[in-house]
Amino acid sequence: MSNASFPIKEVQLGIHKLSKSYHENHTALNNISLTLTPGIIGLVGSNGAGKSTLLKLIAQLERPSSGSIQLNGQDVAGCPQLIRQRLGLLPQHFAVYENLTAKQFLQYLAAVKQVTRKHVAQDISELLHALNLHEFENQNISTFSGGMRQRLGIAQALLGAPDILIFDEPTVGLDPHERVAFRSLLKKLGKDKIVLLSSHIISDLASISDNILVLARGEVCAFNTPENLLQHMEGKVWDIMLKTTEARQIETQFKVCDTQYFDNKTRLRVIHETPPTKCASSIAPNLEDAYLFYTAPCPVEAH
Amino acid sequence: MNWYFWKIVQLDLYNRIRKTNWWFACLCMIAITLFIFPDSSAGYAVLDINGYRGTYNSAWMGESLALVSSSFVLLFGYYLLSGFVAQEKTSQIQSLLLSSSFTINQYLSTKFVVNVLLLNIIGILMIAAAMLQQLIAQEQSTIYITSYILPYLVLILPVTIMVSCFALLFDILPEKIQKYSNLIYFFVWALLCTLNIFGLSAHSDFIRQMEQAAPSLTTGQTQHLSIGISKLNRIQETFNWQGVNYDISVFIPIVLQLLLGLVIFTITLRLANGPCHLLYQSKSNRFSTSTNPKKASSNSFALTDYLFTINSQYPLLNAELGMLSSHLNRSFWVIATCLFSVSLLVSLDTLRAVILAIIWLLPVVTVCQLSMCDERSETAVLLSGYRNQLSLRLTRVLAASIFTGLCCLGALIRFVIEGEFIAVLHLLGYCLLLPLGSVTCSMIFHSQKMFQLSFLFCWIASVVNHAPYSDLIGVTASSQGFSATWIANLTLFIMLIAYHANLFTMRCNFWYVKSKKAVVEYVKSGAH
Repeated sequence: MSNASFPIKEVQLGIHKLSKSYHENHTALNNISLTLTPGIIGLVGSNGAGKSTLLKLIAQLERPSSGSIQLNGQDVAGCPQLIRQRLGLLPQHFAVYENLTAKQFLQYLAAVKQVTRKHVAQDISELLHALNLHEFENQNISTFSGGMRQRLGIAQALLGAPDILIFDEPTVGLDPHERVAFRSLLKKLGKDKIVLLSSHIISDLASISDNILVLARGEVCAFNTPENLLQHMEGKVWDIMLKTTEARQIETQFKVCDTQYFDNKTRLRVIHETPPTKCASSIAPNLEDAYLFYTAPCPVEAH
Repeated sequence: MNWYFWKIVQLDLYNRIRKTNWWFACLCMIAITLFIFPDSSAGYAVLDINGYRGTYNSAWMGESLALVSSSFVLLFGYYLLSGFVAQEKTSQIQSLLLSSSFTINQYLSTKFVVNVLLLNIIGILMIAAAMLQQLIAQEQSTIYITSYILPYLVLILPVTIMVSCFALLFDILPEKIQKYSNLIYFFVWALLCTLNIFGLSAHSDFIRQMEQAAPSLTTGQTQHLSIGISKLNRIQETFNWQGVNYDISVFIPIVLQLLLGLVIFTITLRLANGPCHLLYQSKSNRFSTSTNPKKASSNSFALTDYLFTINSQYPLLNAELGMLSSHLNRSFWVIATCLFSVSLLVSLDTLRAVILAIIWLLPVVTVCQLSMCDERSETAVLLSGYRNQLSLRLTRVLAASIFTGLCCLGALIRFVIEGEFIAVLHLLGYCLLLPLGSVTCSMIFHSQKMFQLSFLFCWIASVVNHAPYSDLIGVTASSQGFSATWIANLTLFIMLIAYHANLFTMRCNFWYVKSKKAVVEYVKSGAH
């Protein structure tokens, strides 16, 4: 497993042999070691892979069973405030104070985060504009749609210019225009901040992530740049056109990530180290192939 | 205490005073204030010293208001404030706040200050209502603000601080204990009321001074101040009350109460940072509770299956019964069984005076809590896609009535054996009323607070004051109580139907408008 290779600027987050078990039979994270530096880190994994647990441990919302998290070389276990005062968090599920307006809610969070008093009004105004909520700033949150609430959640995470940003499924409920706007906002933020972005949608991460972290069954399967992940997949993705009866046999033997049906024939997209059949032709891999390759039931050694 | 702290307090307060519950509580307390000072012709008294009361001047009204409302605030204040921190925990907003540099101590301190402010705003509104009433009564209309403020500071303010601390303490406790927090607090309230008599509050000093000032009707008679609703056979005499003498003995209880509040708050902070950690205990708790209820639910499902196999032709009712029993844990059944046995063993008088009063409370803290589960999780919306909401709610009422009936089963059998058939009907009325009231309130207000507040009002008025009009279970054994229960049932049933009928009418209107448009268009197209 290799660590991300970013130029170290201001903030560095070290995760050393981090494990989290909830009770004897359930290990959510198992001995994870990483070094995170400024840039966008896309976090992918199936349900129950340990994504949310990892994010909660970094945000100091959970205590690890073993291992440590260090901020610029300093262990945060004894003083969670070290991370908290530099953190912006958007949890997967979060509630808001329904009876406040968007502006009041952000003022509340600004006070909670102790944003410098003279900057509060300007910061809030800028964020509301950036997230296209300025028209609704004096509207009660109870009247907001799901997408508007999500944008408000993103705005509160960005308040106070934190160094570490954690977004757990941030694009849920956003329409395509908002997704594009959010991505470009993240690109700007990723230059000097650690942005941890968790999502099930790999295409969302592919275009903006500097590094992708693949988790499966509580372990790191891969942590590398999208380009390197794709390069590693070269020659492992195959396109096969077979009769439907033969295709069924292939489906049981190999990892098939896409199937297209024609009259009597079936086209398969197969992931395998060697050509599955003689008629298989190698095709260009994508990140979804890489994800399926690394999270396959038999763990593949991360490079 | 910096700018950030007060900004958070201000916005949190702003958020909470915009909730319907709070405004309803304000209105209730203003109504209670007006109720405390009846007109001479009203036919009842709340404060009475052997047929006397003080003239309605600032001193009498300020001190009477403080005497009566401090007990109310001690009980109702808790029910108004409790649940906010627990709710923020379940809704994840707490994680959002505590993932910043905001510490647990700061978070709880802001909640404490907001709690105190919320109760004191209500207190100030009550004082304003009393002042207005003094002006209207015109017995002595000159208003002395200090005469209102001093008793408020002595009797109510320390209580608001104590209640705020208790509300926080019960909110941070683990979920298992929180389920019983309402019941536990009720006993805490009873204990505090007893301690008040022994000097924890300046109550007894106020009462003693008022009793001494009142003239006696007959020579040698001992004056006794009664607080509570009592029927008057003759108009109360008045005497000119000059106010309480505020000596050191009045101020000592304030120090005691503040110290008690401080101890509770310190314990709360310790627990919230340690054994009941606001952030770290949630997950492990969730796992531990997710394993235990499985066992409990399998047991209670088996019991429900056994009890209600006869209902197999009503799958919805069966499902509701199963759902309710899976939520009730084993201690519910233990308490219900104890009540059942005791109801059959004790004398009829004890059954009425003590056991019924306890039976009255058990379903409120167990079965009725479940009427909110759909509203909170918005399961109601999901279910309404499959079935008519009215039928769903009526089935929930019926299922909950069966469980309430199980709580009262011992008393019902006892009344049948004793041939008290009116009492049986009264109790059956209660079994229906409780779920009906709970479901209707949660449906209209999306909260259980309203139901709990009105229920506690009835409990105090009936069990403590023996007022037949609020006797929902037969404590007073009066026909008035019996009628009240069934009238309340009928009213709630009509409200439930009307709520759904209203939606139905709206739909009818929609289709009516749509069909009218279609007709107009059809006529137009025909004309062309």
